[in-house]
Amino acid sequence: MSVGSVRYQPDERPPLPAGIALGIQLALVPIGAILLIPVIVARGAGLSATSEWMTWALFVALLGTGLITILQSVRVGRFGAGYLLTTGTSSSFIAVNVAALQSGGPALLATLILAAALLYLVIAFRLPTLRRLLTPTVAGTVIMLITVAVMPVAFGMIASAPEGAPSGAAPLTFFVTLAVIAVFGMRGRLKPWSLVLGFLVGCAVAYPLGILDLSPVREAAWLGAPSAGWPGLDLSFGPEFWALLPAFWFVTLVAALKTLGNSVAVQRLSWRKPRAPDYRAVEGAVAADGLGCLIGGLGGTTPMTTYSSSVAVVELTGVASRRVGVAVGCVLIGLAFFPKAAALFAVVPDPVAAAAILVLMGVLFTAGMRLVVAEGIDRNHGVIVGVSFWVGSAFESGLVVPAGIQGIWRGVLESGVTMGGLTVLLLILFLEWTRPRPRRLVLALDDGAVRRIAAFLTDIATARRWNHMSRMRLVGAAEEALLTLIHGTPGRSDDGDGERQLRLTARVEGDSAELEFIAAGGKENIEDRLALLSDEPDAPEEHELGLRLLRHYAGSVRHQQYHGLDILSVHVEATR
Amino acid sequence: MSRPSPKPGASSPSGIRYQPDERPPPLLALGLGLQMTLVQVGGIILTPIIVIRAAGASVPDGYLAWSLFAVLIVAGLSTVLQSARFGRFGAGHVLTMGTSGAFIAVSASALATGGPSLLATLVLASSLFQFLLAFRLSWLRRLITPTVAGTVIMLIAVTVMPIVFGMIGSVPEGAPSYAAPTTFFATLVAIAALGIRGSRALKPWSLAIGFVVGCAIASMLGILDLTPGREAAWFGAPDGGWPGLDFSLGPAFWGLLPAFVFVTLVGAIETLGDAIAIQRVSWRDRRAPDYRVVEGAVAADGVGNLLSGLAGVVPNTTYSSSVSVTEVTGVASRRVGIAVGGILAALAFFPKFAAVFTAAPDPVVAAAALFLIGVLFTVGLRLVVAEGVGTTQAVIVGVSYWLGAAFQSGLVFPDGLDGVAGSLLDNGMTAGGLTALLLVLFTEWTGPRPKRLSIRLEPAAGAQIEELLTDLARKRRWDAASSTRLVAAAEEALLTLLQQPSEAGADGEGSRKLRFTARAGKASAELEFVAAAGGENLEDRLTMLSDRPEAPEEAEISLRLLRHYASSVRHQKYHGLDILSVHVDAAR
Repeated sequence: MSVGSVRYQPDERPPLPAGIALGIQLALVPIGAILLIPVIVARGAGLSATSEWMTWALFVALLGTGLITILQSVRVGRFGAGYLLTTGTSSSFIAVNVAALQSGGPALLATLILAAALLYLVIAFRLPTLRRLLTPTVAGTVIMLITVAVMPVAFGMIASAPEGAPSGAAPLTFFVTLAVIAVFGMRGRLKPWSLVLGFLVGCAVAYPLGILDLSPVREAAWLGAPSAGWPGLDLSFGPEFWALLPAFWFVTLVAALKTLGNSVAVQRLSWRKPRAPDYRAVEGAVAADGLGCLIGGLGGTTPMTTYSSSVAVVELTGVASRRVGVAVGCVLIGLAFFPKAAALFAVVPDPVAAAAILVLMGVLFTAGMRLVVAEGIDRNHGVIVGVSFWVGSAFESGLVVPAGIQGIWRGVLESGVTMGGLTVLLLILFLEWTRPRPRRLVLALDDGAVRRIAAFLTDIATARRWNHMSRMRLVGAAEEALLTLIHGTPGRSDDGDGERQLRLTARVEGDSAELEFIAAGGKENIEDRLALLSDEPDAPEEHELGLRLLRHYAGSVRHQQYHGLDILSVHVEATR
Repeated sequence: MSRPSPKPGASSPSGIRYQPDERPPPLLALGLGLQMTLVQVGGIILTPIIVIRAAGASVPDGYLAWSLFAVLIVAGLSTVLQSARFGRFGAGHVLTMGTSGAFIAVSASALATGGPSLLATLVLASSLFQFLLAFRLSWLRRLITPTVAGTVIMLIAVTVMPIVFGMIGSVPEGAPSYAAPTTFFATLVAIAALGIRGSRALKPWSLAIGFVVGCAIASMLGILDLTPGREAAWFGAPDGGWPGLDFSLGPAFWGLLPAFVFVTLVGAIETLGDAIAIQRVSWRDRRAPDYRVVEGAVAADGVGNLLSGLAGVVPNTTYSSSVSVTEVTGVASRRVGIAVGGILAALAFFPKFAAVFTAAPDPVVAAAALFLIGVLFTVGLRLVVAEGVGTTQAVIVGVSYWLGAAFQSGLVFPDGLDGVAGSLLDNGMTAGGLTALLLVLFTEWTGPRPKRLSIRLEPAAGAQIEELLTDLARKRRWDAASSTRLVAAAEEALLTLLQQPSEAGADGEGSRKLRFTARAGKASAELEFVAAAGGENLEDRLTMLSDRPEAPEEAEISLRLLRHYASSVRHQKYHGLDILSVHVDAAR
């Protein structure tokens, strides 16, 4: 078990010096990508890497990612996850960014990114309607596909060394770094420092072999912020804007899907005792991503989204503290003003970076695997995951898209996350659509509701020829779930402010029934309380009796909480 | 037999109509055999087709016809052996055999580097390893832990899929560019839709229906070439094509051998799981899985591989679909298995039947392969996750999987390595599997060493356990209070076990054996008590449990006092076997 593998939970605060040091270490991981992606975009569009816009874009990118990382950690209102989620310039947008730069320059790019930010915010606040689609199965598959997209780049870096270096130097550096990170990351006192140890040892090996190039550090200025370069916005909304908008929105969807995956995964890894995923944190993470997009657009740089690598960092180092998240953000902001320090971070040789990426993405991959099986994987979900993961990989391999397709759509089609993500969404939709039609009941959430629900369910179960025992159990489970929703959240400050409405959806398929209760929000997660129950040996308190009964009747209970909305799914099996 | 069993053929509450030792009417056995054969024959024929297409041009003419003939014959013979059981070979249950998809990648590279005769030698050599281990299954289990086995299974997909991706877009000259992807996706959609939502009767046919749909669309787009089907004879055996064996044992052989051994061992683990599962659905009275059946199944699997090697074709494995079909029909009689084997062997002499499959264009075959191997991938995934994944396992699995993929991509040493090392490490499965093995061994060596004690289960055992634990706690620098608590928890647990009535112990009571394992770190300790009736081999019993096909009955025992000392207690009861796991935290 993972007892002791989490050093600092989100609500725990490491001492300040350790917090800052951990922040610097965690900033080491994404910094390369944060600085690299705007450069790739600029090069792809044929702009020089020393252009005025480029300097400006890198400055804003660091500033923005720092701010959003802090927001993700501390959570302000509905924005931010409340977990350690590092933000950086998004790789999903590279293809469309290049297209926008080519057809209209930085100003058009800025406007399009603003439009993408709008969609982000819409998704964040409409998340509950998408709940049947955005399951952990989808999140897990998407996370696994993210690693498939990143790995070939890392593989290419394993043997990459500057001209003149001895031929075995790069792989040697790679394996040494890999061994250090893996060995220290697996267990032991030095676990929180495994990454920085790997980087140091890797660089120490690389330097005598001649593959550590320090000249960018020497050339960079000590201090400074660019004075000009802000491209402004292009509000003419010409045909180029409308032509590129669909592609931007499509990519936004994919990026939001990634953020969803990251925010669900980080919750699983952050606590010593596993908790049910809190969908309010997911909403907050996506909303904060939307703000990152907004800053990117207004500031005239590329969009910023959460980095999956930070999920892996949490698992590998066992550090999940919000305070460290704030420290990472501060370090990133600081680097924006000290180009020399930023250059020092970015100088890590390719083989060393490849080893770190391989371990981190490997750990992320297993986080995806765990998400996929989090709710128990039946044959159908096994087929869905297997097929969509490999369909995504097929597109990523570039062997599937016919040669006739070129331009940005080729870029979109050759993204494994996009195509695999679409496949898993479609298959889940298919699974949902082909299920028996659900029956619905809408009523006020009060004590009188119990009788009407009992009548409603008895009716359904009789129609399905369930026997008496099973019928009783179904009704019993529903009643207990209902009572738990009404009374079962002690400490809730509901002073009868209006009626809470309840929507009950019942789906019966053969020998099993699924009940879904949707009500306005309570406070505590019932799923978590059920999980806690099994650990408490003492005599049950009175208000727990209902929970115990619920557990007794139901095959499984799932509680999803959103802002102002509670969704309780109860699964009951008939006996024959 | 303590209680009378119901009459053969009668429907019992368990749904089993014929046990393995009962004889259904011959016609019923033949009909059910035919049905089971039809479900599986597509997969049996598909594997060699994929392998040969993936290997490309280096395959001699006539080898395809020979392998289609040989795989059917070998599958038939080994199925008969598996069902009928001769001596120590065979399960004695309905456990059908067929070509193994796990071998696609390694077989294809063997064919590409050294032709069919190299493949033959490799299969032959690796089957010998299986015989060595068939009678020492607990070793096998210890070497190939679920983490290693799962990673290797997932890497199988990594090594095969690039081949499959290449087939997706491959069409004859002159066909329109959209023809291949359209055919591929149509086939995949048909297979996946039926595989997910087909009714119980339809699901087993999803592959066959997908094939038909794919070929229909391919013929509309003009990429279906029916000549091989038309040219094949209705009846007959191939004249020649046997590749012979290659005993030169060059670097290609040594380089590929580890990959073959890996897949063979992982395949043996799967066979072990199937052999336990088939016993569960075959008998009316719930009985503990019989260890000899498992051994027999693995040994017969080895015979199947040996025959495949001699014939020079892709190796065999048990098909777990026979378990689900048996569960549905409730007919577990050996006769059904024998009928399946007979029909398979007979089909070998009707070349037209197999030739129909060979007509399918590449995109259709690619879709079927992607589906099958994608599902295999999730099997590996579940195997890894079922163990529970902490950071250590996450690092092991993540690093070895992706290091395997890195070697497979050929980018680690772009200039290439020579000789044995080259062909060894260019195979992602070998590189990744070895990494996983090494990392697992590393964590075991560096982790806290478990202390073991094998004694008789009697009150006097308490003293020995106390001595061991006090010693252990002192070494780990636990304080006095924690050490006392540890000992107290162990003694409570022992008392609980002593109070348990032993089911099987009616004949020789007092002779129960106890294996006690303690594993302590700085802050916590894990104690494991395994108690079984005397005369049983504990290791063997545990080997079967680790596949965990049956849900353990979590028994509520008097745990109040134990709970007080321990932070978690888990009690699993199987037939005549108690496993009590106790977790104790040191006070800070």
